[in-house]
Amino acid sequence: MAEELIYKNEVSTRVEGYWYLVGKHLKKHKLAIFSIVLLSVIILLCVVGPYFTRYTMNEMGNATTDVLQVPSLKHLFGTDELGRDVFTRVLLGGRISLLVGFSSVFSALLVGIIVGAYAGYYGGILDTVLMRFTDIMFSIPVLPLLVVLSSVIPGAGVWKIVLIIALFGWMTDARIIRGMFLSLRESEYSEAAKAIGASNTRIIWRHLLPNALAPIIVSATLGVGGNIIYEAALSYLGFGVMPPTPSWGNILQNAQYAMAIAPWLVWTPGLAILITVIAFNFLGDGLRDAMDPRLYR
Amino acid sequence: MRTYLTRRVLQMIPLFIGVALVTFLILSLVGDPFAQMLVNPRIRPADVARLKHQWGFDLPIYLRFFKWFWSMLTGNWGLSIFAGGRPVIELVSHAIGWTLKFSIGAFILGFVVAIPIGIYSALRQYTIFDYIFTGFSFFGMSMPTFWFGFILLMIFGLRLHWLPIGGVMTPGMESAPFFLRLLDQAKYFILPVVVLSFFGMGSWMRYTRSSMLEVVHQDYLRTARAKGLPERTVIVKHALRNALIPIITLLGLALPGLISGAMITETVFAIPGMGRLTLNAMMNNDFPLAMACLLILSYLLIIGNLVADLLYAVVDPRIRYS
Repeated sequence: MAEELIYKNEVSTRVEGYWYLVGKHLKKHKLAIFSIVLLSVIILLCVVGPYFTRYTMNEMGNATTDVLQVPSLKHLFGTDELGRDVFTRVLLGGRISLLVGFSSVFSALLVGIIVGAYAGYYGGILDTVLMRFTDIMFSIPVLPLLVVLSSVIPGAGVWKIVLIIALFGWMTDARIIRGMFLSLRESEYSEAAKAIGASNTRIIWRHLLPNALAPIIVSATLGVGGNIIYEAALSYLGFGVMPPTPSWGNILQNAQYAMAIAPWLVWTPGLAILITVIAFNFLGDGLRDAMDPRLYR
Repeated sequence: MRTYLTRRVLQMIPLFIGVALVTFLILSLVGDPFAQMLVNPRIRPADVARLKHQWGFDLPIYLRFFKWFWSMLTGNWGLSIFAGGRPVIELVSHAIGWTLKFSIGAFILGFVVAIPIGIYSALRQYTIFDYIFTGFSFFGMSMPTFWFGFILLMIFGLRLHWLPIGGVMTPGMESAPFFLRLLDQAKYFILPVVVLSFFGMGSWMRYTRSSMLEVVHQDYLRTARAKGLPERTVIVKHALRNALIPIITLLGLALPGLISGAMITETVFAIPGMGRLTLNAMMNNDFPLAMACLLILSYLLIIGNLVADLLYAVVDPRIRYS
């Protein structure tokens, strides 16, 4: 029986590489696939949608007839206190929120990879110094410092928010990658690469990093959702993306003052955040299951 | 065990100093709080210079750090610059009470709901209950705290008028009899506690579920069943006790989220707690107050993590620390 199985595997012409197998496992995870579809729709809507809506971002309607309108066919999500179409603003806000989510994760990952990889690979003093610094950063409550940094760093742009979220978001990645590198540097192929004279930099980036990719991808996927919430929280406190540029966070913040008379202003941007973040969490969960090393032992 | 304990406690000292240094440096980036007074034509520059000297902002930064850190250690936390010059220690001790009250409530509510449900979904893996609760936990993890607060406020405060929409007690209740005051405050705390606990509930549920699932597939459970123990004993005595061990680490893991969650919740519900105090101090560039708040929160985090680690070591006899 066992011999038959081995035989079958050998005659299979398809080379089943790691990523092929991951894809295969992911396909079975219905929620993850659903999330990919949902996220694609959301991203497409936010990127392309605003070109097709009837209103522009800051277009204000008639001061008496278009202010604080309930959702209708004319204004799908109603209008806000300035008579702006909320549907258009939620789509445009989605662009900003998703941009902040993706780019802050990317930048944080870059820092995390560099810190974690060098600490794990070289060990010794460098490891101690970098990891103690990571511990320190981990022990400081992030939110108040984000508030401080957003008043220190000049400008009010989206990139400032990306920068400050990234500045305090790299620690988890750094720890994960360090852990991976600690074991990876002892592997045979790392030794083999050293034996043929590859430089340390080359070993880190070309040989070890691709093998530490699985947990990084999972943490990045979950991170996009987390950072969208961070941006919203910062905006809520008044330190996020500055109006009139809309983001899901500041549309919500704006909505709280009209909460008693215009509840629809609160529902739609919040639901947009919730659905997007849930999709990222489901996808991350599916990826974690699909990339679980215990599956491929 | 004792050596492990001493080592961990000693390791905390550089962490304490490092945290203080990093927060001090970041806060110093904002510049000294008196600089903005120079813009005001009604304040003489000489007065600003005198104030700067009085508060010690004219010293070089390393001297300032040492002076500040030493006085923090000796219990002299200074005066708040903007809250009418009141002592920092008084403001903090007043605020921390409120925060503790509702965050401990949230912590307990979160655990009481999350752990049994987590265990139940693990035992009934892939049933409809499991799917419902898994969906619920993802909901909890993905919900922006303040939005959830808004919605509860809208429904229970503005629409149904069941609960107050913010604050900590009805005006005039300060001198009411103890029991009435407690009832009054409970009314104000329901929404914040629910909002804050919802934040952690989802991830704790997932964590408990996966920890329980890990144990359920162990060989010793099969052995316990094979020797004829009733299912109840197998689950409670053999599975649960082992599954609960990793959950202790949740105690430490949950703290950072609880602190930032508390900040947002306090802002939404206008609770005059630590989070509000810290954020206001930061926004006003109230250096002594902001530093004291940040330091307390970070030290709470560090100590919480240590306690979780130590508990883990105490509870799990398989772990031997040398």
